[in-house]
Amino acid sequence: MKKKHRFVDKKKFVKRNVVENSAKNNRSEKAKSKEEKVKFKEEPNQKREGFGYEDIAAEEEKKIDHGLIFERLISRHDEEKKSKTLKDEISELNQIKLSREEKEDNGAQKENGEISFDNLLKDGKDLKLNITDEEINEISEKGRKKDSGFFSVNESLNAKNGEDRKIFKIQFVKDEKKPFIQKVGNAERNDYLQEFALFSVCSDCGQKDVSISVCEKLGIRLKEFDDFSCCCSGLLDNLNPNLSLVINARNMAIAQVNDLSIVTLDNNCRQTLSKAGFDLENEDMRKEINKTLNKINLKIEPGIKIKSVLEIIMEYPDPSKFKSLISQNLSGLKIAPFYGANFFVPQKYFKGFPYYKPDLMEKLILFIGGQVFDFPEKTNNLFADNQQLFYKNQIKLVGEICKNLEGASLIVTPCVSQQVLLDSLQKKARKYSKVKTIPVLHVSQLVGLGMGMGYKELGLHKLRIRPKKLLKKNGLYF
Amino acid sequence: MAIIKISRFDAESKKTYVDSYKIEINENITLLDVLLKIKEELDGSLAFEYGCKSGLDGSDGINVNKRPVLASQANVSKIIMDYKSEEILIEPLSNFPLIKDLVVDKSGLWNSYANTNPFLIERKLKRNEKPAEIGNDVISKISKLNDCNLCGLCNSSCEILKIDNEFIGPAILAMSLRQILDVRDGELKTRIKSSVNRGLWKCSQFMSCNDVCPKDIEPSFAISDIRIADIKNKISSRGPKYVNSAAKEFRNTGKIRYFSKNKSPVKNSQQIPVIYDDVEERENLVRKKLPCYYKEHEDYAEGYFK
Repeated sequence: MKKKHRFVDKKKFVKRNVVENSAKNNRSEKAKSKEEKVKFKEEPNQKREGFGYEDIAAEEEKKIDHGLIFERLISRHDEEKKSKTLKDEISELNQIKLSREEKEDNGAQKENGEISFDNLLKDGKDLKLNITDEEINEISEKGRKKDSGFFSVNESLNAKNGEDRKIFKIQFVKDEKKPFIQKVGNAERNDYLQEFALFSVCSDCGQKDVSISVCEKLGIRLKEFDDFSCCCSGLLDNLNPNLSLVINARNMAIAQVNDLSIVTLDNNCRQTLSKAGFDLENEDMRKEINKTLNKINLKIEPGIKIKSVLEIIMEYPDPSKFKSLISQNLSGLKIAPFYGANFFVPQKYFKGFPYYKPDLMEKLILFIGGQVFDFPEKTNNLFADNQQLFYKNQIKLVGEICKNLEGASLIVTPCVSQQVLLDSLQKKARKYSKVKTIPVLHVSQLVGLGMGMGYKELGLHKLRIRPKKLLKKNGLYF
Repeated sequence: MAIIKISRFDAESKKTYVDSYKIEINENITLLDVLLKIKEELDGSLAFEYGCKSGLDGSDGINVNKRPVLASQANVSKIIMDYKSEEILIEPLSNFPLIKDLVVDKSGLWNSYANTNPFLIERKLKRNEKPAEIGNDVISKISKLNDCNLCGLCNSSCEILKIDNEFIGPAILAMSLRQILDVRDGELKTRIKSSVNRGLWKCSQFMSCNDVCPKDIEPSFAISDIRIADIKNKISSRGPKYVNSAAKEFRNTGKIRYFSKNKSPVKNSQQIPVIYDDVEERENLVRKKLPCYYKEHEDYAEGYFK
């Protein structure tokens, strides 16, 4: 029986197929003609907006000097500042009219017309130009005035006496590699006790300005760099671990050019940067990363220090001066220090750091004049990474932290993203913790509070849980 | 002298209480020696688990001052030096059901390990196909994972396991990487799918498991390796979308904003209420456009940036 069925089925199947195919062919011809029309409409150049990364990728395939590309990129990036850029100079050069000649194996072919130096840079070839001596002088002067000196005129070929025009060879010349970032002058440095490179957070909401102004009062300068990018907090490890290493190595190299150590406002940044620093201690890894960093004239070497704002303030060399700056009386406040576990973990990235019994924040609170509220959950986990995927988990984590906080009047953290999470989710986490909401401050805000800075200057009016009532009770402000 | 506090648990009355013992110590004494001494000389009713006494089998895991370690590898005098106090608090491993005192039920871990089919299921070769070779990088990763003895320290350090029942823990996710990396294995997609169902994207990559592991296996990096495989094979949708859109945002602006209101990386997600959102600042970021990406490194991700 089975055999019969199969046999019959096959026959039917073949017949159907034939019919369907013929029908399909008819359809497909019509469809093709339609598609062609549609295609014709879509085809005209659709350039994607934005970075213009495709141009660079196309250029990279032609294997041009990479240093040039990045210089151009940087020049594009600096246009806002309206300094004289490479592009302006090129446009000046384009005003000189030149005739162009390209040589082939069979013989010389002459083309008369204008030559643009944009094309010259794009092609990446050595060009032979038929021009007069005066024009050559103009080019070489303008070319060499620029500090990079990216092209030069080398020889004259087929020089004939008595002719105005000669054939010259123009070449790209690699100069000594210079870092593209301006260095901080030594004269400025002497005004301050200490100086650091500030690595600000993506989720910054005013803490950056507060910590800069607090540190300036202490005589510490936190210098901002526009060229720092996000650290990505390990999120791009899920695409390719090397990519996030390159990004962080670039950040660290920028600080290293200026002989500064990095200061972070966030635990996640501190963790990922110090992880990159740990990985770059390996020589083979460093060589690989340096290959890509060399394209933008940067180089990384081991031994960069990465610190949080809390560490800087606690390592401040002149405590008597610090004490004199504190003006407000905070003796009525019970302050609960929350570190977050990624201040210490993993241990191998933070060598020589007091891991076991953390007492940095407690010392600071006592120094300013507050009371310490101790609780066992101060080194719990709270992470901003995939919060948008798993929102409920984040609320539960906040609920666990606030479980034993009855009686505390303030929470202090060294991390911006933890502050934002604790601030925004505490109300919803009340069903797990069953504790009244408590205002949360960043470390820099607490120090500013002790120094007597203004309520709005500290950004306290931006917080979701406002400390207005609490401060009023203790006779501060209002 | 060391004062050792041990949290104890009665299975019949289901009560927990703390006993403290005073013991004289040497420089070379371990915590397991201390526990054995207490059992022999002071209190015979104390229950704990141990095997080889040298940390090869992972049966003697305990929490010391709320940090999971193997008792046979913990030096008592060093602990006293680090914590700067003679009191040492000893507790059973967290995230496991208790049996008695310091003894913990690990059968759930073992059963779920058995459910992952931790053995090679060979892929059928075509007629003229040569068997694929495994690269040296992959072998070094697999041999590192083979050191795992399922001691369960990483599971007890994980705080998301404490909260979320659907997350299976770092130990089993990390061990399932061995077959996923193996080129000869035939059921790659089902393996990745099952690990997605076990909560692959719930891990917050906090690296507390890396810190605790006595064999330096680094489970959280193993989890990110599985995620790379997930993105390459296009199996789950939600997590990869999140990562890719974050990467795109990074490429355009040079930054990733976790707290942005206007452009959330994931559509239809429950967002955290936004406190601070400056539109001007965001526009400034878009203008900046930092050159942070390099083509060589994008090649690994196989065109996922496009």
